[in-house]
Amino acid sequence: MTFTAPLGLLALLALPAVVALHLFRNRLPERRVAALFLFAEQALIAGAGRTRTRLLRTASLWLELLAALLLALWLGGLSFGGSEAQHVVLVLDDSASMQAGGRERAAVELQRRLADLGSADFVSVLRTSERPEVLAGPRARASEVAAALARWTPLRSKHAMAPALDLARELALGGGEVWFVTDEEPPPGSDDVHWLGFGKAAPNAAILTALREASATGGEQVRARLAAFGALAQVDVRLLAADREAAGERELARATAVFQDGVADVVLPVPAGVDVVRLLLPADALALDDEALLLPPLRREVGVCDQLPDDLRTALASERLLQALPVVRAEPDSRRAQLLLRTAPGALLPGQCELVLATTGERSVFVGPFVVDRAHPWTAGLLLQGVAWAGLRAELPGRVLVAAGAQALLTDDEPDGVPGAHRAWLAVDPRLGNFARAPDWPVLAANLVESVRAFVPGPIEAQVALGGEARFRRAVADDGSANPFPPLFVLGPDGQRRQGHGERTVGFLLEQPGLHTVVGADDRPLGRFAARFVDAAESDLRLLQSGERVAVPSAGDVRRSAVRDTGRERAVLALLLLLVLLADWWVLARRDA
Amino acid sequence: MSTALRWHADDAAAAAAFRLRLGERRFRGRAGARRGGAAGSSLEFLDFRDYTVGDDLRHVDWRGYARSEQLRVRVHEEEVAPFVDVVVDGSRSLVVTPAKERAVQALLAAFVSWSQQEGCTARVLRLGGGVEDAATFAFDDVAANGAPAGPVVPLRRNGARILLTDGLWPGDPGPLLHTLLGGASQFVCVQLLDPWELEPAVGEALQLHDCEDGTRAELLLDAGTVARYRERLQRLCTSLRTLVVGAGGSHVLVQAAPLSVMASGELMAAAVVEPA
Repeated sequence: MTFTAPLGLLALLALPAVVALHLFRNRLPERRVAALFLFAEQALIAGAGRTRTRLLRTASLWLELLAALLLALWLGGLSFGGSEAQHVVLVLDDSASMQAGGRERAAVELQRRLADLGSADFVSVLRTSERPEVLAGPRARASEVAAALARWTPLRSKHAMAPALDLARELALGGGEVWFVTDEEPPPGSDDVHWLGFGKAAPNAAILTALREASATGGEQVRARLAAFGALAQVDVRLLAADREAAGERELARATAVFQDGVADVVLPVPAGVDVVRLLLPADALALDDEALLLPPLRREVGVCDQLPDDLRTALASERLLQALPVVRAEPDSRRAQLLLRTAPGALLPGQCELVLATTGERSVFVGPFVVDRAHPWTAGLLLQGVAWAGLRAELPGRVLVAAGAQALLTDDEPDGVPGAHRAWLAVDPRLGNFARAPDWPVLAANLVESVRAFVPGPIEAQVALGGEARFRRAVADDGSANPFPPLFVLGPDGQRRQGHGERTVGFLLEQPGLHTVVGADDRPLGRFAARFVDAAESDLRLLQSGERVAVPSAGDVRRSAVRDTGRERAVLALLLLLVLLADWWVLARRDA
Repeated sequence: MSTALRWHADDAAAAAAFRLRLGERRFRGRAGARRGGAAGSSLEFLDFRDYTVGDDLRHVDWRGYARSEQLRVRVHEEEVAPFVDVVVDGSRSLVVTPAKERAVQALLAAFVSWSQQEGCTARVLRLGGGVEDAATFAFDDVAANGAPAGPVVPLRRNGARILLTDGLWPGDPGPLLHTLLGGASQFVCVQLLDPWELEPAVGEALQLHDCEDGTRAELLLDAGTVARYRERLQRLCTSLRTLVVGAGGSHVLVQAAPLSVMASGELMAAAVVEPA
């Protein structure tokens, strides 16, 4: 029997301390405090008193003495032989280029090497990123590492390896080794790390940008820029329909892209009525950058609720105007509209804009000069040349945007307590004068529409780079529910639901390529995103390396390398200690009861 | 505040000797008597200056324009009644001792009263809750792990905000303060602590009972224990102060006492109040 840490036996001094505590046991005065956690790591005492009492040979005394003894043995490192344990910290490069065969080669080699480790050896597995992630451990058994390696799917874009290596060095303190599994050359300053390279240089073609847009002929097209890294002269590009309902994928278009200076541009037509399309390059070393799912271009339609009386509606020709403005729909429900046309201010929801025609006041006609506040987005393009403005002498609230003399004609008022809401006051009688027939009225209406387009519910952008944030604008609720911002989730290609963060605009981190669907708590689909991998630095596989470089151990590492594993003895002692403490708690609880 | 404020008679008398110091900051609010964030429509004429984009066109000097065809504006001061949101930590720890309970009730009532005297529109909001009446505000929250959440109703922008708390949270108060400080023209964090919390007596052996989670611990408060406790408390307070001051707010640590003592002492030294 030996002790690996004999100084730990000083804990045997706890035995007389326990006896003393029992001699001076007393009930303490109570005090209510607000923050007991501030005392959390202080030395707690159990029933100390100033008057020495007769020592009672209670079960509690014997159990506490036994607990102190077990604790001292545990701290002293009781060993009945033990074994030399090795601690290996694996750092797995999580950058996407590892999918070019490096991950598979690394997994096979690591399984072989880990099989050579002893049963008492420990392994910790880290995955590189700006915030390194522990896949297994710390100090897991080698047999547990296979599951961690199976979960390792490198998808990240180019990132720094230093944070993961620094964390690995900390974990390996006390004699451990760091194995860095990558496909790139060893980073500078990493001589203390065992480098294992599994990269293999290869030519590769990648989709750099892919945009689905309206074509000049009125249909849709996909415009893409491709890059060739290595000796590639041309590549075949296919466009497939990726509708879920279809039994298989049908080819929509095909083209051959010829690279010039490593770059090629292609344009492929998309037939009408196709939902999701897939742009595909032939299989090469890295499949991740050969595919791009493209959703139809977003139509963020602004809902306009026209509540004007018929005579004003006719004078302003508002129905024709709504048909002429791009991506706008008439919305009869004022709660679902982003822009409201009224003659009196009404209730507004966050993000809504209300155009109020001031109809009460003394009538007057203004022919200029008009002074326009050009700093405001609503006044962009307003000229008011030749306008005879039949207005009303009324006091308009808010920031003045257009004025004639001392009379404000257009103002912007922000109602209190309604975030993002605006009220545009317009002192005009469209039945008189020529404002409604001048080009300035549709310009003003278009400016108002564009100012609220950001508040249209739904996805803000359909295409998102892998690892980036997809943003979804939530529909405004006014039903008085206790939680106006119920949780939203994104359903990934793997079928997993991940909760978004944010209130009116909800963000989702997309970590898998493919289609993602935004759903509410009832799984009702609300919107879609398509995520794809984009990183030219990772697509360039020409400098990948393989090999092995053994770490140069420091003097301290050599000295510490012999770590005696007393895990079994410590586990038994810890279990006994736990049982004794539970028994003591049970005895004391019965006594107090 | 529909019902009478709930405070000790001495404190009510003491409050009359002080007023809230809102300083020279630019606020938003309804029409009132304090300088606002922009040129306004008050009768206080300041000067003429050249028109620039964004100026209120009501203040263009049209007579001068007729003479010179140069657009110049009359600059007036805007006068508003600022919004004051008194955000209160409603956890039980605020009433852990009679002295602290009286102090927090007095401070809550005083901040509401001082705000109303300044012509401000004051609201009392609970951390993790909504708008409440100062007269019926109950300190019965049990803190979850970490720092409490911000109010569930939106805070009014460009107003003054006063956070009344003891700041004794084990978690990171950064997200809460980020919420409270966002969009505020003036932010004051009043951290109220009991004298015993600031300076526990050395040499006592006590059974400490956490008033929120009910946990108990027996402890000998020797010099070392008290020193380590004070070091942790100091770190906690400094962390809170750093976050608040770093974000442009002000922080004042107040020892629970009658209102006259707190107002004339720490609150006046920190320029939160001034003699009426």
